[in-house]
Amino acid sequence: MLVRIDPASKVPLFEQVAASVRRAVADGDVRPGDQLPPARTLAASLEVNVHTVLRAYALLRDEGLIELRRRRGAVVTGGAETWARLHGLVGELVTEARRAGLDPDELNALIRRRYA
Amino acid sequence: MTQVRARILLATLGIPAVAAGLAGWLRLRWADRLPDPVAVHWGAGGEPDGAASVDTITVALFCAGGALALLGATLALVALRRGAAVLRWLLGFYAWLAALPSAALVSTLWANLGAESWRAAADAGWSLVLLLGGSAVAALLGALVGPSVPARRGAGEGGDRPSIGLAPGQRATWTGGSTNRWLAASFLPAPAVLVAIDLAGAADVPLFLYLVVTVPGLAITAALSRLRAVVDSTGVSVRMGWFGLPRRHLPLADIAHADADRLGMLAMGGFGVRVNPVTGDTGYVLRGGPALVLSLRSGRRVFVTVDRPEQAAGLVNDLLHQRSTAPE
Repeated sequence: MLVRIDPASKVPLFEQVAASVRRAVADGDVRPGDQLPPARTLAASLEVNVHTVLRAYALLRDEGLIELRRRRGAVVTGGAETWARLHGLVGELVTEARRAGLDPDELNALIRRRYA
Repeated sequence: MTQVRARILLATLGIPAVAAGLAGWLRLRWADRLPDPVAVHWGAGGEPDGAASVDTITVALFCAGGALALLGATLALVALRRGAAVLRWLLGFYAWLAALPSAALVSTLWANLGAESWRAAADAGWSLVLLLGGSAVAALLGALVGPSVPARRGAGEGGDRPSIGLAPGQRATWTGGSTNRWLAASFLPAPAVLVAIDLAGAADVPLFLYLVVTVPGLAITAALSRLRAVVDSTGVSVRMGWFGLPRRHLPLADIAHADADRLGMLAMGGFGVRVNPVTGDTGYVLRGGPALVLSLRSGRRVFVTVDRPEQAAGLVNDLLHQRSTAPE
C-alpha cells in the first residue's frame, strides 16, 4: 500500500493520507481483512504527527472502509469492496473516453457538469 | 561483444586445450621411460593399487577433459546470452575443471616415470601436488584471460526503471509483504504422524516427543510464513515472521536502484533468508513469484518476495532521485 502526501498542498494532510488508503483499497492493494500499518509507524515514515494518521484512520472508519480494533489496529472491512466496484466503472469510463478521443481534462469537465 | 565471447572461449576451451597439448607432448616424450600398464590408483597408504594401459588412461582423460571443456564453454556462453553475470573466477573454475584431466594424466605418468613395473611407481604424494598445482595454474590463467561481465539486467539505462512519479517535496511510504499459509501449515504432518503411530499401537509415543516435534516446528513456520516490508525516506526495512525476526534495514544511501521482478520457486535454493555466496545476493523468500529487487551500490542484490512490488520499486527509485537532487 502506497501512502503519498504533499505538504505543499492545500488539502489537509489527514485527508491526503485517507485518500491514499482509499485508492489502495479500490486498486485491490489491500483487501478486506488486511491490516493497515500501525498509526505510529506510518506517521514516522511520513514524518507527520501520529494524530494526523489517527485522524485519517478515524475518517476512514466513519466512511465504513476500515474498522479500528483494540488489538489488531486498523483492519479493512468487507464494505470496502464498493470502492473496488467504483474503480472498475471508472476504468470502463476511461477506456470509453479514450476510444472517443477525449483527453483527461475533457472527461473531467464532462463529469463535473454531471455533478453540478 | 565478440571480443568478450572470444575471451570466454579462450578461458574455457583454449587453456584446457593448451593443457591437453602439453600433456600429450609429455606422454610422447616419456613413452620409452614408462612401464605398461602404468599405476593409475593409489591406496590410502600411498602405495599403488590399480593399473591401466597408457593408451587407455590417455584416451579416457582426454575425452573427459574435452567434455568438461565443452560443458564449461557452453555454460558460460549461455549465461552471457541470457544476460546473467559471467564472473572471472567462475571462468577460472571452468578452466580448472577442464584442465584437471590433463593435469591428472601428467601427474600419473610422472609418478610412473622410470619404474620397472606399475607396482614400483612412486608415492602419490608429489603427484598430488603436481595435480593440484598444475590445475591451479590453469584456473589462474582462466581467471586472468576471462572477462568479467556484469549482469545485464539492472545495468541497463535508467529510463525504464519503475517510478511512481513522486514530485519534489512530496513524501511517501509503501507498506507491503507476503504470506505463505502453506508454509505455515507445513509442520502439521509431523505431529499427525506421531498421533498415527500412537493410534496404530505401533509404539507408545511419550508426550515430550510431541512437544519436541511441535514447538520448534511452530517456531520455524511462524518465522517463515509472513514477511513485511516498509519503504520510506530512511530506506527499506524487511521483517520476517510473526515476531519480526530476522529483520534488516537497508539505508537509502546503500541502494543504487530498485526493480520489480519475478523469482522462480527455487531461484534462491529454497525459502527463508537465502544468501548466494557466489554473487553475494541475499533473498528474503517466502514463495516464488513477484519480488522487489534492490541493487546495492556494492554490486550485490537483495530480493524480497512482496506482493505487487512495482510500487515499492518505483518509490525506492523516486526517493533515490529526490535524495540525489535535494540541496544538502
